[in-house]
Amino acid sequence: MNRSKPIETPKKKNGVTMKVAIQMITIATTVSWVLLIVFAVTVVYSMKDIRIDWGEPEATVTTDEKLLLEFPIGIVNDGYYSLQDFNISTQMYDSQGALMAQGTTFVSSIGTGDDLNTTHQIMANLTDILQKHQDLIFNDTELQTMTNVSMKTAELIWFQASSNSTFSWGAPLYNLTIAPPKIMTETGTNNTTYYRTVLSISFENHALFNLSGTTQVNIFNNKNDLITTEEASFNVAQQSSYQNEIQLDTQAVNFTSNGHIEISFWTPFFSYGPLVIPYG
Amino acid sequence: MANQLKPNQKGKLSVLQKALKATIKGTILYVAYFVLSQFLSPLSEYVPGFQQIIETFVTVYIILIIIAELTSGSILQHFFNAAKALFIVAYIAASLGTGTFNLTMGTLSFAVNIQVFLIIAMMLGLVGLAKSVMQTINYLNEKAELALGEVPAYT
Repeated sequence: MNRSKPIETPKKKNGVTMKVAIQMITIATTVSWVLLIVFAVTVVYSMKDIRIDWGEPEATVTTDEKLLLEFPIGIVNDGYYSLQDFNISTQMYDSQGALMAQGTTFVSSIGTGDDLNTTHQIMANLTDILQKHQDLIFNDTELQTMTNVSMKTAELIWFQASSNSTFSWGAPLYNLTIAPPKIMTETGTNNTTYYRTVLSISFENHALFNLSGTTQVNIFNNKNDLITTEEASFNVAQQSSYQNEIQLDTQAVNFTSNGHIEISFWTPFFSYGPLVIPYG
Repeated sequence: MANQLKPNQKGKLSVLQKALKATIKGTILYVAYFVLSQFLSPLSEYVPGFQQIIETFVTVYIILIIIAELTSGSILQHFFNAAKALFIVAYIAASLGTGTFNLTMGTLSFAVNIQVFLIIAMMLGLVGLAKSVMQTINYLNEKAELALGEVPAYT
């Protein structure tokens, strides 16, 4: 019995090729895993070096009577990766949950080490808001705001943060007080008697804007005839009080012992009235 | 010869070598995990259970590596390599789900979408599985060749 040499077949060559292929796959997958893990860890780690600073809002009124709220925003990206599609959107809702105003700020790319300063603008149509929500003319309130910040980091990982907060709304005619009318009999220069009605009006402008407009007062007698009308203009800076006495003179012949007074307010942003006050 | 080892001594040395290799691999992996976990610690503060997910994964993965190393040279090694690759794919799919995470802290809520990252990781896991299958085929091929080579030929 003779033992021959091991049979050599082309399979031996295939085996070597397969080993090389396996080694190549091993190296490729190992390198890929290391890169992927390092990438994931550095992305998470660098998120702590992204800072978004919100400043106090500045309110301005545009020429078309819209309220523009501008929030200065500072975005500091000290992370390892750039940020793409950086988007801030804010929605402001009324007490019933209806959308009142919204704004969006979009920055396509923020590179590493960049310090970007921008403004986030929210435009509100004051005329529409105050006509629709007349309680906002007289009452300070907290409006619900929803802010979304979304961004993509390293072109791969999408991140979103949402926050519910409140925005303090200041009423332009806060604490509107109309004192009961004072009616006095006066004698004119040619000894004619007339009635002088003095109406005291006061309010505080808590709004983010200066308020200018006109107060119109109409006095009607008991036959519902308009016997006197008077207009008084006002210009009240934000966070200021207003107090005025409006005098209306009525000829005795038209004046009746009872009737009513109608008061209306006209401003570029809203008109309100008439408020009816009986007298006599 | 005096310095020649007996077969049982050779076997003991082989087991010792395997154990040493397994220990080194396990230690390197644990050190790598320990270093990387320092970077991930800020996230662990905010994502509940994140640390546990990573710890479980690393523990099972290191155990599979040690077993695969101890059984190297046998068919069992390839079973454990395949199990390791399957474990990666299954664990990623089970723990990361759809790749979208939501977290709420008071009035703040966060959402992170890592779907692309997830797809890449699962593809790499599948490549690892394919590699294990290839290694098994190669191992069986070599075994068969060896067996064929040892067949006595009658002339």
